Amino acid sequence: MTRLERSGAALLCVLAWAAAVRADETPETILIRRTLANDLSGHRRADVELVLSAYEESFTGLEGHGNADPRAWTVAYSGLQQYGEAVRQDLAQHRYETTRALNSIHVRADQALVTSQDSGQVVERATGAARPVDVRRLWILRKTEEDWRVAFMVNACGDSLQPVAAVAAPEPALVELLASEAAGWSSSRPARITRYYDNRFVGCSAGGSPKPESWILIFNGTEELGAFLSRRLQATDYQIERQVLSTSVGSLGTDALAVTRERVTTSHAAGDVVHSLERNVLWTLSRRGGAWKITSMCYGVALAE
Amino acid sequence: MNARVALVASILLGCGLVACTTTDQQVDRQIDRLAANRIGSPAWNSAVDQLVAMGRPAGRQLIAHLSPDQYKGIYYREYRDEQEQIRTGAALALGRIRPRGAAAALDDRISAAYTPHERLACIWAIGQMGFSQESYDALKAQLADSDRRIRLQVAIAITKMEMPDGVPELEAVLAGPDDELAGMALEGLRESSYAGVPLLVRLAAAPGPRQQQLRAAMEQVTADLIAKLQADDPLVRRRAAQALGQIGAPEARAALASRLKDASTLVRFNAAAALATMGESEGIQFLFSALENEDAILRANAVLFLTRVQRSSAAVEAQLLAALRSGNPLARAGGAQVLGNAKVPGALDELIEATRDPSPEVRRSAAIALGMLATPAGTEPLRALLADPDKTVSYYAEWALARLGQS
Repeated sequence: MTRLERSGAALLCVLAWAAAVRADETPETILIRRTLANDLSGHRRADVELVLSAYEESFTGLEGHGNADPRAWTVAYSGLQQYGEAVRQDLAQHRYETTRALNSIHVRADQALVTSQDSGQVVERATGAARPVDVRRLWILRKTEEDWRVAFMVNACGDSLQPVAAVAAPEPALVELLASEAAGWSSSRPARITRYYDNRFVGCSAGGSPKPESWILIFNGTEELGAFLSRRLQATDYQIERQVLSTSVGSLGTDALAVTRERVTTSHAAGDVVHSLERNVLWTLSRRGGAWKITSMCYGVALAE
Repeated sequence: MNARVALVASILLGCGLVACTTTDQQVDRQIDRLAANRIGSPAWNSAVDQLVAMGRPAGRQLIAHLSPDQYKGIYYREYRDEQEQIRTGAALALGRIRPRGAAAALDDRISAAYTPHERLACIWAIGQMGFSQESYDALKAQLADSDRRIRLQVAIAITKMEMPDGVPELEAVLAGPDDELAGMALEGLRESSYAGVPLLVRLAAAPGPRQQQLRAAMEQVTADLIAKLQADDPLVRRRAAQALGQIGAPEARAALASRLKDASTLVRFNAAAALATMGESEGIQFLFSALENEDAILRANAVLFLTRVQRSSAAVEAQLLAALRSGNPLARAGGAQVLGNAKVPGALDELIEATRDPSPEVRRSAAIALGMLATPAGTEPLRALLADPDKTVSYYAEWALARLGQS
């Protein structure tokens, strides 16, 4: 190949890459795509280390069971060790012939909310039996230094609200914590609320939609939540009446999720309007550090009738 | 010395930072008042007024509060109503402050994804900002909205931009039975000031169900325009004078006459043209005197404005014909130009006569005027000019014959 041909080939490669990059792509979304591509490639190549390189040490995995109603969701993996063992076993038994499309990527500061759809097939190594794959996932990634890693993932999160079977009585410790958090809003001291949150918690708003593609990130850690509360509680009074609808604790007993229904009422120091709304909230919690702490919450999730 | 400079600099920087913080906090306080009071309530209106009083320094925060992205993190507000109260108030304040850069943010908030309160406020504010191609395009896309109030507010905003697309909606509302909408249209026309005058004049002159209200609106606009004749901005004074001429309001005579000595040439000429349109001798004399001025620019302005006056009111036809008989060749040449530009058919004989004028400038202007009139009777005199010793005259005679289809 002559020098001119090499230059031409290089130019073609650059042009092809430029054409492949989407117009709304940013350096962050490119890095996020690379992280989730590592997870996919690791599965396809049965490379456990490559898969796990995409995940945070404190990773929490939820199973959505194909239902967009989070009352049907359960905690599947508490931490990278448990997930790693599961992946190792899975890849020993199955071969992945799947592709992944990222339907949405919302980035806010060093957090990202991503939805994906995997399709293709998974083949059982022992028998060669194949089952088709068509699975939607919700991912929450966090950036540490220059790397984006998965902090939460909901497998098979579904795209429609399905009826939910009767749920067991909520876990009392979680009910107590969420009640205390709600009561904290009636005080004017942010610490009465932030004490229940993990420092790196992720706050989202679903806006009443069962489609995670439209969900947005609203809080990034307790520092930002605290700054919001300092400002907000000076100017308003809150009343939150909260009912815990369901809880689910993982097999290790260290991670849980909860769904609450609540009425929020806010009056303002600067005027006579009283705002009020009813919403469902999805919470994830962890006690890996000792006491239960809220690791994420999503206001306004949709529930089946 | 360096230490002293550093001390002064740090004091100034500190003062600047304090001033910034203070403005930000003041804006925040008023934003909280918007959030805490119903749209249109006295407290909510007062918050809007306070934001307007802060002026352009408040612009950055107000623009930010238009965007849904603002309501996250430290500025999170979970209630849609609260966001609506803030966004609506911010838009109204921006429309009154008119800071640079606000139009693009407003353009993005007028789609059906926003509430009627928000849309109406943002559309109104865009109209206050004046013309930009992006805003105009964004507004036009909403002209087919199913909500009639939205369509009307869009029509008003487009009219403020001096574009014609809003006229059918305004006409339909003012001819229709809905008094509330008609009131909104009249208010919009009043606010449109000189931009709405041509439509207001036309509607007030035509038969319709709201002539009294239209005349009342025109009286208010007239008073506003008279006040604008004193504005600092010469463009505003010029547009006000022009609009007063279109209205033909006698009560504006003294104010217009005082502008004949304005520092701006265009203000003087617009004031003179307005007076001349109303048949006022001061304006007519001003323009005809300029027609004889040695300064070519002033003469060109005189031709331009006399043409406008003649076209709109025919108030100067007799004087123009008289100018053709003036002893001053500049007046004769200028008169011929205006009669041609305004296409005055009654001037044909005088213009033919002017083709034999001893001044080549007058013969040239007469040739051009006959070309503009495009009357067959002008053919023979123009052919005669083909052999004119002045090459410019013969060139324009050929041009004029071509317009008559005689080349």
